[in-house]
Amino acid sequence: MSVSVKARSFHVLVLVGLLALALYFPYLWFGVTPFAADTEWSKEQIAALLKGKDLPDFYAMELPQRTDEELLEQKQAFTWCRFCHTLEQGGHNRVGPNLHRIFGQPAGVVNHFPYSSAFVELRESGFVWTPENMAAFIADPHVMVPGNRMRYPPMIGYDASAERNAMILEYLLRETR
Amino acid sequence: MIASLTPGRQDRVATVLGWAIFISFFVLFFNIINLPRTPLGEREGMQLWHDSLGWVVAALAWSRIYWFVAGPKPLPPPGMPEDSFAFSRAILFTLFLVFAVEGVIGVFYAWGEGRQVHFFATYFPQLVKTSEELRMSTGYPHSALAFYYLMLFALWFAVGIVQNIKYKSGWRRLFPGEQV
Repeated sequence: MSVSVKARSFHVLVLVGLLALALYFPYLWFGVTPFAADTEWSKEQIAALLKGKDLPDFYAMELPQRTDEELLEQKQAFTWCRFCHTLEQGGHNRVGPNLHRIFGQPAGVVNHFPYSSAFVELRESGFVWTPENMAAFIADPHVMVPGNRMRYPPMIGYDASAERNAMILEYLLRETR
Repeated sequence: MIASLTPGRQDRVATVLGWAIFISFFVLFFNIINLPRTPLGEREGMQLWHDSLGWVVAALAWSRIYWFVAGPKPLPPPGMPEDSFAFSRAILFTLFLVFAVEGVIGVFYAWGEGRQVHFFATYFPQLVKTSEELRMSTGYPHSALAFYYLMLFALWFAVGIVQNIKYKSGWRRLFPGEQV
């Protein structure tokens, strides 16, 4: 089979062009990057970020008593968040960072997670996660932290009602302790 | 061997491998669609099927690549210029290459996140240390190549439709089988 050089060049160009486009897609679609950050935050560094902030222990707060049905509803409300976030201690970062003990933690200090510059700036501004600012973040992450890479809403037709957001917040408080 | 091939037809080995890849990937594809839609922590069973079928598809794809290189070369269907036929073959070869490479990357991705790589009832031991760097540097291309083969599917059908309109090469060759 004799194929002309012009045709071969065209074939290679199309296939390589599509590959280049595909390599951009995970970032475009999910906001992920192929690189892990080599940052490891020591207790001292985190304490320095929290210095002068008189914050309560959010995990010592008592949460409302819930029936099994209500707890299941909360879990379901959180379903889309669980595609990207682990909550347990030592859980991997996925598309988003691990959220264990997030409340009372400075922004952008999960080890090895490659934060966007928006979150780096937030950390440098002295921001600390509280149930109040987390509620605002859940309601609209891009208003709260403009330029962050979190893809929101997670899908077309996502129900971002205040009721659902409240369930997500309580679920986070319950499951990240 | 080459002389025995009718224009527009491929040999039996290529046909059988084509069908095997099509069927195994078709089953895997349902898993691929549903796996990312399943919350973390509830993926164990699906992951087993993903790993196992991924191995099958990758092994078949590597075999098909070998046969692409070592096996008899099919001739274009009557009336189709060689340049146009070569484009179809290039898309197909790239598709098999992506399937094959996806399998290899997928194994390192699983090891990167400290996960056993299943193969049905058994699993492969972890040969590489778990690390965030490995997980992310393999997870990203694993995802990107999945987008790539979806693009290749679309290109394959688009090129095939144009070829059928221009050269009356038939629709059947767009699917697995003897016709190329």
